[in-house]
Amino acid sequence: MKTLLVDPEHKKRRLTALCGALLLVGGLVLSIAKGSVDIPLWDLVLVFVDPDINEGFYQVVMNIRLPRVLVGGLVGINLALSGAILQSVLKNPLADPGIIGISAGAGLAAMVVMILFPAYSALIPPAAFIGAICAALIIYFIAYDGGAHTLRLVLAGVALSAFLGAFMSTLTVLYSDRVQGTVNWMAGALIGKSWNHLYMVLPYSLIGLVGAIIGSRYLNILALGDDIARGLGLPVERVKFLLTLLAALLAASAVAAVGLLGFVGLIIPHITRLLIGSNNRFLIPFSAAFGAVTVIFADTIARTLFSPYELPVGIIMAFVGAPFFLYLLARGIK
Amino acid sequence: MSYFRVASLRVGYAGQDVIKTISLTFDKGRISTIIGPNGSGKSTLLKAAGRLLKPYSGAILLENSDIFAMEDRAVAKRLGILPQSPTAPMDLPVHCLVAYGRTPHHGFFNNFSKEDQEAVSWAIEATGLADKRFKRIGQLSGGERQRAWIAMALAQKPEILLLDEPTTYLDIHHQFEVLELLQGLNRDHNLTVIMVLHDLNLAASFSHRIIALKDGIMVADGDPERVLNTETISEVFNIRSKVLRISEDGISKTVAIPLGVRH
Ligand SMILES: Nc1ncnc2c1ncn2[C@@H]1O[C@H](COP(=O)(O)OP(=O)(O)OP(=O)(O)O)[C@@H](O)[C@H]1O
Ligand SMILES: [Mg+2]
Repeated sequence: MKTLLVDPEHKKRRLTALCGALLLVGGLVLSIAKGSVDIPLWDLVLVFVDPDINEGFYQVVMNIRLPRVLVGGLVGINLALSGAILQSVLKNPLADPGIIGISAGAGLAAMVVMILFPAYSALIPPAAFIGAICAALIIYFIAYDGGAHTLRLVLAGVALSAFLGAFMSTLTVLYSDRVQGTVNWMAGALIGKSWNHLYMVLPYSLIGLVGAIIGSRYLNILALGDDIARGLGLPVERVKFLLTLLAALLAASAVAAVGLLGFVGLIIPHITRLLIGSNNRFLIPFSAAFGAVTVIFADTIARTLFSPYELPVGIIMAFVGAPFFLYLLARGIK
Repeated sequence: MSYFRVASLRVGYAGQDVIKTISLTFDKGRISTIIGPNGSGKSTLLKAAGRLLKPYSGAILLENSDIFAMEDRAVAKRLGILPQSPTAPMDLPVHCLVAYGRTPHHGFFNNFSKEDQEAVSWAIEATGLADKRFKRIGQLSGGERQRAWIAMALAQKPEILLLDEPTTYLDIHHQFEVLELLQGLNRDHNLTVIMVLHDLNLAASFSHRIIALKDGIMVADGDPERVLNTETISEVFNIRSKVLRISEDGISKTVAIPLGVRH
């Protein structure tokens, strides 16, 4: 007896996709319109029609807000994907590049390049990638036990982050002339992000997005457990290694662009999972979209809440993310 | 040429031997069952045979090729393994789980072929899960869940199927249903089955051969009538028992009745 012919989840996913798309467009528009100068919607449209109608608005949108919003979106995508991949590969619901120390590794390496080779900003992402991998390796060898103890990884990550953070703080004190906006960097901020930052992150986001979408099939098989995955012909160790590299690359490019923006990779995959379930074929693209939406909205709040003062977007994420983290803990994690 | 061979296998965990040198040859199209007390190494032996655990020494040979030297997917197309207590995401629909069984056939990039689709439908029907195909794993009873995993293994359509306690959680009816299904596949498609069972009587009814393990050592090996005797049962499980041969409706069976722990 065939009672049902289509998966009932199908409808739910379509609805979520629609909401996600609306939120993304709404977030982009709102984020570009709002700020120290509010741009009415109609004027915003005109900016894209003819730059000469309102030169002032044109400058604000094209040189300040648009690149900033786009960088925010890409960083959101990268961090959300990195978190989604790490949570699956490490079988740990608390995995997030910030929490397990990968971002700190990337941050320290990026900072070293900024101090030693200030002229070569293109070197920052690759250096951050190397730093991220080193941190991942340290965590892997010290604290990874096949996912048996969730907190072990978190504790090791906290310690490693603190350790690497100490180096970063020392550098910022010793080279205060060369590292500007340290507070913003340590918290993760989009202030002053330009087209250059966008071009810096974009290739990594594209590689990461394609890699994650390909990887989603592997993530689904890995979710059945290592033994089943091996039995189905998956080279488990190699796949996990490559996926971890991908997660490190995504996190590193985000850190290289905006600093230590935390919690995006923790929260987004969880919320996405609640909305559309744990099938990675959908979880991965939806997480990417919601990651972008979240960072864009959070940055809009960060810019407008105490205007004319701007908060780093990372502070807004911490306000939301830290309680969420505590909630996950309280919900009972082994 | 032997079909499937466990050659001087020594294997364990973290350098500690669990299986202490076992050699076994399995013929094509036979059902073999491994019995033994908890911790005797049944799962370990099965995992090594299924390429999940690398031997310390010795080899697992499929038609004389070392399965650890073969391509991952090439082995997975021919050899299926269902470990003891697999877990899946609670919100995974049954039909998706079963479809994952096709992974070695369609690869990771190609889409589902008609053959894949048919194999999935067949596996779902064969395990009696047709009306549960869109249920989620978390919405199934323990027995239904077990059958969903068996359906996944069947969808893989291997020539050799290794199953670790496939009847746990199943009621008597479904125990027989699963084992009769395997027996049917064995009869009609020449499927080779190697499984671990705890129930001696089920093992005797459904197997051509029983292998008894104790402390990682093979204690007995042969057809059920030979292996199931009071002495062997006493040696392997440390219990007193009575073994009967019964004939009913033209079916003759060997039945072991446990009487109590041996002191
Ligand atoms: N992953 C592991 N790491 C370390 N030791 C293990 C592991 N799995 C099993 N063992 C040990 O190996 C021995 C044999 O275990 P195995 O799982 O093969 O037993 P079994 O015969 O399948 O038992 P059961 O009937 O309880 O399933 C046991 O002593 C067990 O403690
Ligand atoms: Mg076992």
